[in-house]
Amino acid sequence: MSNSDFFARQTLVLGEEVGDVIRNTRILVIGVGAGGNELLKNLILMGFGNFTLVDFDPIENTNLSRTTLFTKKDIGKSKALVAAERLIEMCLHDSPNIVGLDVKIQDIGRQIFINHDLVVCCVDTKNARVYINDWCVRLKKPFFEMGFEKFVVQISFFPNQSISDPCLRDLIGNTPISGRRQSCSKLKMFDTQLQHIPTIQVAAALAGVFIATEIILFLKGESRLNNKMMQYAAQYHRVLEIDIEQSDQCSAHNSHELPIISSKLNYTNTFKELFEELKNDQNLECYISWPEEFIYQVECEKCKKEIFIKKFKSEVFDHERWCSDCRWAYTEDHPVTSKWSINKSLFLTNEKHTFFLNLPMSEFGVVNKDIIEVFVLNDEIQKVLVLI
Amino acid sequence: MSNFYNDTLLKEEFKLLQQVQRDREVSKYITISYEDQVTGAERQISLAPSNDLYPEKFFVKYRLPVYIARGQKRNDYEANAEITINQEVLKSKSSDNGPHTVYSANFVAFNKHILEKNTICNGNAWQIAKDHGLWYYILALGAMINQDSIVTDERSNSHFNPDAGAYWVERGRRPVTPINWPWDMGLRGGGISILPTTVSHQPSPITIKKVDTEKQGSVVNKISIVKKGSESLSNEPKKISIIKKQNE
Repeated sequence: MSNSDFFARQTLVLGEEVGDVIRNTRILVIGVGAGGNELLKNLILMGFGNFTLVDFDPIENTNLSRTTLFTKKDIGKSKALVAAERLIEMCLHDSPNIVGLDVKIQDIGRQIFINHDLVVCCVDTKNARVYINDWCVRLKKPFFEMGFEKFVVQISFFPNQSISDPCLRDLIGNTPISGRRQSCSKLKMFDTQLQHIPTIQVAAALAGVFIATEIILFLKGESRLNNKMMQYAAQYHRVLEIDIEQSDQCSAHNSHELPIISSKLNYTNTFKELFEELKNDQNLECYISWPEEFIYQVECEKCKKEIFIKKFKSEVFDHERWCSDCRWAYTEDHPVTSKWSINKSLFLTNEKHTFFLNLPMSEFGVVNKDIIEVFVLNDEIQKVLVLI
Repeated sequence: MSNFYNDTLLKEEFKLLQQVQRDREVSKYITISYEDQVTGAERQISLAPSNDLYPEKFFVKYRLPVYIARGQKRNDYEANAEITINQEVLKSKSSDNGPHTVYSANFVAFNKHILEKNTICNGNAWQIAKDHGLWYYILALGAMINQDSIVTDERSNSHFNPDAGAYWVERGRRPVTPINWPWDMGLRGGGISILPTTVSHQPSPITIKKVDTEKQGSVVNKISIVKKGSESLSNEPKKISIIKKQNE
């Protein structure tokens, strides 16, 4: 049976041309829970076949009442890997390329966003949503976003094609997204507890249908949801549509339309080498300014032994100020009394940064196939993106 | 391309710190300097930073008389606070996440917020400063060392040094030195305008003005936020009034 036979009736609706676009579109789906399952089921049946699925969660009992791609025998296995396997079985595409990645999106090289045409976010945490949003803005990737609770479904679409386009931050506000910390210099006490959100299969199914429909409309050039949020309250069959406008203060838009530079270096090289390469090859004087402090090392609050942290401040828990041998002595109300080695920015011309400049970039969380946002001194372009 | 964090938020904070430092009362007790981002050199707050890159790291020197025990006062206390701010602190001043602060002093002050020579509970200072920003935080740390009631008066007097807390109550909850901290500095001079420097599309400037507080009497402070809507259908500005009760 030829591929066209599968889609004969769909072609009557979409036409041959859109069918070709569907076959060639590469989609990055982040989050393969209830919404992700429904979305993928719809897309695979419509002839899409190029997917990368990212999810670090295993399949749990409670997922099965809302996930069409998982069965009881999959409990405990990776959502991304099982979904990829199931989609390959279901796929009607003649040469599918479906990859499951059992990782957190923040832990993989950001070039993954470049390698896809569309990005769909089906996650349930604000941190991940904002992270995905920011990279879609920087790389001008069309970004579809879904969420649902009880019978209410909310979807939005940000094409990210123009500098004046809004983004998800304009919808959810520029509130702090890092884990909860103490008001003093201590570190975060705990993550916002991930509670089981009350959801029902029909809400997930609706979210999957809405996003899949919007993707098709977008590929046809007839998107209805450009820079809008749509909320559907299924219990009342009531629809609310909101136009989203860009905020002047949105940090993501400071990074729109940045020049992209390919580096010959990789994550084992140092920032010093990177800055020198950018100076020699591009005539750019560059520096790094992290959004928050990078904690390289702290002294144990009890025995004063060195503890290597190598994480950004909002990622570190307060009890990590005690070494593993002294962790028993941790108390919530203990102030910071020991020395920390921290860094907020990296300048070649700042002698205090020499130690950090000579560390491999991997020490700062840079991974294979990554992208680094680098600031430029004395130039009209204030930032560039460097592919590592 | 505008860098809102540097060109607006850090710059605004820097200008406020220059203003704090110029205050005659503050300059007797506090000296503020900063680390120039480009060169790494420590510079006085009155000097502009290299390449218009506004600082994120500040060095604050406090010279304040303190008690070292009941009835024993010393006038040679010197403390240094190395304060680092980041985007989250400035973008959401009401955030619980305060600036990273490394504190060191020449000896231990007899103060309920001070645990040892190099540890002060800066969290309490941020609790009262967080809606105002870094300049207020720097004053609040000074007030904490000075045992002003604004940062010292709590239900629990224990904290790091219960004896010092009890002694402060016995002394009538008075500061070590009567200092007229400029807590109202942010409202002087008609308020602060925040305008992004260059954006390709039309920004909506927001002006925050404090209207005639003295004429309001002592009961309420009235703050008007006037938003000049650039694409508003009518030419009338949108006006929101916030009535804030004093002593709340």
